[in-house]
Amino acid sequence: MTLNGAAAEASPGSDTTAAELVRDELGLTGTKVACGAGVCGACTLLVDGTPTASCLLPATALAGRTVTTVEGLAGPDGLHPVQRAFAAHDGMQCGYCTPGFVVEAAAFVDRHRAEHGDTRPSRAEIADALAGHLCRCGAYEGIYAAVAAACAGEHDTESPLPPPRAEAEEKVTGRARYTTDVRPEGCWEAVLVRSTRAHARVAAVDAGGAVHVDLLGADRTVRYVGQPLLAVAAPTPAEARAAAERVAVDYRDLPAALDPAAAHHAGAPVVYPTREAQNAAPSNNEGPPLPGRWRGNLRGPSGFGWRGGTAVRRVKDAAKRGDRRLVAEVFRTGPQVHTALEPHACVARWDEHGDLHLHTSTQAVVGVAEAAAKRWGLPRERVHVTAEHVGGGFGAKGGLRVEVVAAAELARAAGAPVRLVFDRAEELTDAGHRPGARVELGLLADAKGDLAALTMDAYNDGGMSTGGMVATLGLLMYGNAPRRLRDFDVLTNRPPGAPFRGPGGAQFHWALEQGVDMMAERLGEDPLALRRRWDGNRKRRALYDWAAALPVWAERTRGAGTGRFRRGVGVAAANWIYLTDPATVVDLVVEDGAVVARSAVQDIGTGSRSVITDVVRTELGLPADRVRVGVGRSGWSYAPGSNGSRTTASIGPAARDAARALREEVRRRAPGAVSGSGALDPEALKSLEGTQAGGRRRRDRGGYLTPVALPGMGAPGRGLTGAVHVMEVEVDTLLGQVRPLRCWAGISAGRMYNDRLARNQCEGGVVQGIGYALYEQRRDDPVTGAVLTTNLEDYRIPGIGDTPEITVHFHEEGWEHVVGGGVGIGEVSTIGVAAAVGNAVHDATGWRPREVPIRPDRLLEGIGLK
Amino acid sequence: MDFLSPDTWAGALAAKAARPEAVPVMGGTDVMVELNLGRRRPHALLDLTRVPELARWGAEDGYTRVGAGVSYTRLVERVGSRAPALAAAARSVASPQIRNRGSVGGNLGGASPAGDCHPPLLAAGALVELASAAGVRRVPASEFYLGPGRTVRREDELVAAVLVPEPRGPQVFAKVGPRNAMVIAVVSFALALDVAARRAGTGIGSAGPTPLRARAAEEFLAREFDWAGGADPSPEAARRFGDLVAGAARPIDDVRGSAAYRRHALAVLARRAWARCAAEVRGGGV
Ligand SMILES: Cc1cc2nc3c(=O)[nH]c(=O)nc-3n(C[C@H](O)[C@H](O)[C@H](O)COP(=O)(O)OP(=O)(O)OC[C@H]3O[C@@H](n4cnc5c(N)ncnc54)[C@H](O)[C@@H]3O)c2cc1C
Ligand code: FES
Ligand code: FES
Repeated sequence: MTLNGAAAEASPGSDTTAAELVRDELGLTGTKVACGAGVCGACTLLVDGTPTASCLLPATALAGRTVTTVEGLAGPDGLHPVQRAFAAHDGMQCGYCTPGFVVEAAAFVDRHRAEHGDTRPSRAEIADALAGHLCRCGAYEGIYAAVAAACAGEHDTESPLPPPRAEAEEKVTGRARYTTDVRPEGCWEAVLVRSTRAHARVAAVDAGGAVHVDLLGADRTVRYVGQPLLAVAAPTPAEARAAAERVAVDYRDLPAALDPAAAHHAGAPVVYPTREAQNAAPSNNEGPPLPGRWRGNLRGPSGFGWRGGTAVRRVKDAAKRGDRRLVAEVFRTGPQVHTALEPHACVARWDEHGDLHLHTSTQAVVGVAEAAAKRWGLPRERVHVTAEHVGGGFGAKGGLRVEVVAAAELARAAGAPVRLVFDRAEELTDAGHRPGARVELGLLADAKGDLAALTMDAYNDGGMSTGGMVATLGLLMYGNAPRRLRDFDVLTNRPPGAPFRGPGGAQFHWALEQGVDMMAERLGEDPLALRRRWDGNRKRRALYDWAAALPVWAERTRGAGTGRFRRGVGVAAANWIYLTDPATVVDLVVEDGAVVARSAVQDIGTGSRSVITDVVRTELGLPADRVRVGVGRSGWSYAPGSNGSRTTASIGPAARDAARALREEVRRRAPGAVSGSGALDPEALKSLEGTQAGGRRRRDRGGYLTPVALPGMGAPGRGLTGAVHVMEVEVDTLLGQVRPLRCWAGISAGRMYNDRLARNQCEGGVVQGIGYALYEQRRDDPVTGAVLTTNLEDYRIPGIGDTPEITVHFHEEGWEHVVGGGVGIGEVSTIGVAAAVGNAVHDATGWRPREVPIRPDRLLEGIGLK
Repeated sequence: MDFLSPDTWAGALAAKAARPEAVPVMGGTDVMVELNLGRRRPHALLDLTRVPELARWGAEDGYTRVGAGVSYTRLVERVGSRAPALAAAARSVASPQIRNRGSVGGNLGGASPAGDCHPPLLAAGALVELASAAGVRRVPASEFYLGPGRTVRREDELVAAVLVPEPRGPQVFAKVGPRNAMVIAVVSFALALDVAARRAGTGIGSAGPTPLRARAAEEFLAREFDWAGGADPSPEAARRFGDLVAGAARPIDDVRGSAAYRRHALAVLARRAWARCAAEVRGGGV
């Protein structure tokens, strides 16, 4: 075949796919495989110029063809215009989907320009062309902009400006290396053997002579279908799969609790019968779980409140007298699966000194290194964790997970590097999920329309995990009226949950923010005005004012729609805590005429590399090519995990501190190299080789809410971030489908370190919220407990055609007490979105959705149409 | 696993005769998914992509003959107006990458009840041409399907082509998917009218163990349709037609949709299909 312009030869086996050939045998790892089922498009190649899903193409079909991979898109004049456009418009976050998008878009742009000249295609045309691609980060707005601009001929030459994302070029060319792309010489492959039973004691496991590691806990019990119980390794993937199939497991079945609605009833089979077993239950939250009492499969209540007795009494009395100012409602959500496009993966190797080397797709480089050191009894510096690029995480890639433990143990047993990569079915079953919840809400207003009481009981469905924290989030909203907030876990023999972008927040706001809308209706008040009144905070009031001034809000018809297609507009507010990690350090050194930063921080698509790059460039007035930033190695300076929206607020200030320290150091050594404005003379850097300085995350004015940082949590800072989402939808009242048309996202989180990246993340938050509201539903077999939605066709995440036009607005004031002036946005930008969709659907139809996803059949039943 | 890769049609039929258990692969958009996900482990694959005859199409005795290997993209671009409902179905398939590889023959070979080609083939009264080393036979689409993934095709036979009668009136295809893009049908419906003969054909997809026809609905429409003027149906007639189509379906609840929703959506699609056909007759587009 002709591969990227040159003749290439290969003799693949008959069962090799084109994707495997290109990646594994020819080493062109830009092409990604994320589903193996033709759904996600990450594996797209051009075969004779035609975009083709290479995971569905036998390698032999490439014989005699002309094949172009992402690595071969660039021509003699540099990158393909579409690659430049993706970089310039930031049509990416984690970048794992980017090669596939770029290859398909290149073919589309070339064809479009040949047929229509340099004109902009419509959004619908772009959506059609890219319908076969999925981006879990939701970078679709940037992709729309990039493709349209490339078609219009705006990127035919190199841009004089650096792209907003520091590593954009690596991502659009396929050079960015992810854990799944790492395959050292002599590397073995590992496969997890998973339970086929929902609840059983394992009497014996026969590994059939394979190199293996046992993964069962002390009580030798499996508690869900899909639980890893053993891992095997072999020199090739096929041998490893065969070895896994030979493993014989002798199960002694136990009765299983599978229905979260019945698991806490008397007589239900108990998931954790002993205190030890209960204490060993995994947590689906960050930080230590709140204390809670166990009764069978019910754990709790845990939670907070103030004047809880008063709140409950007021709600009860109001119910008795039939007070219209009481909103008492039950809302439901189901499990939402993270679905990062890069699956969980680890490549482990022990070197000749006994040091452990881990390449892993993680959002906590330092966390993994610390936990691994503890587990294998090594000093922390002898565990070397690398995560150069990470294809999404969303909360599911924290801590020392099974893929790391298994790969490291197997590497020791095999005396060879071992690679373990989840397949999509494993990913959709056992990589964690946002737990479902049944939320009982009580919301009472007094005669003046002020909030008089808030009660919330949440029954959290995180499978066999504990730690649900939904009602507890009632601490964050609407002032200090009396409230009782109680969380319960309902345990079942189903896979464990994990923290998911704003843990508990999406469930909480789905209930509360629809409840507030119901209250507004009862009080006859504008929903924005009511929120503004209840929420005393000045920063967020600015957001309500901004939203109220939007034409779409002023012009909405408020339930007056008739006919088949009805438009509606909904609003939802959300608050989130602000965290930082005071131990964060950034070190700078002058090397080869450039300022180089090296930080352990991982970049899961949220832009941590770019934040450090931008801060250093701006602070030292240096051009792009004079600042280099390396991230994702545990040996580099300390940075926290990418969870709890704390990364930017930690590394940003530390980077600035380091840049200032470096300037002082340079001034000391070569006073002439620093200009009056504090900029460094790029030319002088050559003679300053080796100059170093470090920076710390300095303390906020007013300190933190707790005197010391909390383990696994960092320091909770002063102030809450806020979001107001305004969503416009169109409902097809005949087919029950909801189409989000436009969305406005107002965010109060202070100054943005990198405006385009911050917008991108907020846009992605909207997309994920829409998936939650409308499409995503994990289904489990009620009889066996097995997850049924094990591919991306059946577990439906939003595609580009599902994306509304999104406008992001930042209100930056109010964070002056924070060093650096800005805090994290990852979570606050997504948790309220589903409720905004719910409120918009109600506005359009008069029907109130109480359960996500708002499926067509539920909607039709709700609006009572036949 | 053996990989047989004949480059002539005769060679393909001979290979199938010699190894009836060999699994044919055309675009691979079904087969490769099954292999990748470990749902199927055949001993032999019979690659048909090098057989030139399968990629051809053309007119033949009042029919348009579409080779089993014609991709959806080709079908849309080249066959288009000669088989409007089939072309509309092809246009609605998934995504460009799938349309570039997926084929009519593969849709029939797999015979998933959700396949988008089936309703238009049923509605238009198409024939499926089956061939083996022993000979060729043509089976009406309405007799082709037996159950999910099961058809009258014998193990030693291959699908050679479909023969779609030249259109004699308006044809429409409509489908409901679970999200706005990239979707396998929750339910689909095709309607094809023969204006001269005053006959109607229907096809229902994704709402039963096989693709189905709604014969009572066809007869009802044939009686009630305004063949001369193309007037819109009365609300009662439209409702009745929708109910008859929905009544012919035998849907189940699954991860893509509930049985009740499928029935409801079918009725909506059917009513709309009538209205669109009527508009076309009115507009003289026939
Ligand atoms: C992401 C994705 C989305 C999809 N969306 C849709 C959709 O919207 N609508 C839809 O209808 N389908 C859809 N499909 C399914 C698939 O694309 C279609 O069924 C397509 O028509 C299959 O054609 P193919 O040539 O790729 O078949 P192949 O995969 O090559 O074969 C399919 C089956 O037919 C058999 N076969 C192939 N050729 C012959 C022959 N000549 N004679 C006998 N048997 C043969 C094979 O053995 C196999 O059993 C989708 C698939 C994927 C992966
Ligand atoms: S990996 Fe090929 S389409 Fe997803
Ligand atoms: S950037 Fe698309 S999946 Fe992350």
